[in-house]
Amino acid sequence: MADSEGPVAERAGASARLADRLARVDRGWWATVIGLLVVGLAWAIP
Amino acid sequence: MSRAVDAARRWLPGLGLLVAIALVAQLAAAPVRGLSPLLLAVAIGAVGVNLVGVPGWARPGADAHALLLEVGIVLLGARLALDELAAVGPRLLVLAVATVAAGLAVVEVLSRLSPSIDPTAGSLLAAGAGVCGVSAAAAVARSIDADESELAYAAGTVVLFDAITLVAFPAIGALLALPERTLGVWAGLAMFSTGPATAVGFAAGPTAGEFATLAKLARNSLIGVVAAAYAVAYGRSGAGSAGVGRTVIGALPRFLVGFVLVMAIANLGWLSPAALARVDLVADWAFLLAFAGLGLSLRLAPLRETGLAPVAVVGASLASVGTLALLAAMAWF
Repeated sequence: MADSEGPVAERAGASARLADRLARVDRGWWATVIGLLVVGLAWAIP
Repeated sequence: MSRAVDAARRWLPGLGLLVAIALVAQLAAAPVRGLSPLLLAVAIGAVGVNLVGVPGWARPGADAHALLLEVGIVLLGARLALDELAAVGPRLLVLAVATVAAGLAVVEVLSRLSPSIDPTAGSLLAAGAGVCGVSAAAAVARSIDADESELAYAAGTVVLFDAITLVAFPAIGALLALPERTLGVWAGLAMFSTGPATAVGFAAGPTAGEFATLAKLARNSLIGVVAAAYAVAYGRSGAGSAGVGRTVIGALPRFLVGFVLVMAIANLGWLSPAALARVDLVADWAFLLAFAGLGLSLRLAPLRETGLAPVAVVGASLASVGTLALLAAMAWF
């Protein structure tokens, strides 16, 4: 089986699709995720 | 892994520039009584970008200022008490609806009277001045299929007034000795973009900053309704009420979800005072870096192309609606 059809190419394709999807996520959602991460870290630090 | 390294290479130089500006602003403002490091950070960025520009290597990171501002607003949710919000929320919402409606009406009428302003460009100017700056103009541009040049025309005018109001509002506030709450509500109701309005508020103090943000968020939350109304008015609402619903939801700022979630977490008492102090510290730095980047986005050279007519129309709207908003803020807050 050629590389372009194999599991490596499949993983690379999936990763590119994920990156593309993430790039399209609205900035406001990123702000929400980062804000909640900060709150989670602030809560978890003893 | 290489993707993470690439992203770091892309973003870190510009973020480093924002940190450098923020540190210089902090150090320079510390010994001067009454000088706000937040406004100084905006000023350093604005002077820098208009004198020497932003180097290409710093652009991606410097452009992250809008994300940093939204992170700061999400974290600000931790400072707000729900009972206080319940007490002032209805009044703020009424004032936000009134100022948005008045701002839209004034700019729409004046721009239709001006032969050099195209009706579509006039609507983008109205959204930018009435609701929340460039992001509102962009949301309405999508809903009425305006072209890029009309959006750039409206955005240029909004940025000019962002720069003017960043200087004028603190000066008028000091002249009238406005209390923090009044100044904050006025800035949130009358200034165009979220960044400058919150900068003016936090420069005056934490209470002014909170009220400026709340008043501005109340206006921002109306963008979906305004974009949908424009789509209907221009006959571009797509599949009837479903299309209108999609426009209303689609145009809502997503960071409002984070703001509400963080406010809920804090008000449920899940965060200790030490944890709240840590969240506060990160929010303060997110705002400071955001305002340094905001200054770097205030390029005045492209504004020469916008012409006098939109400046006169938007200036008249700011003067009239801003005065009414000031009187309302003085009476109610």
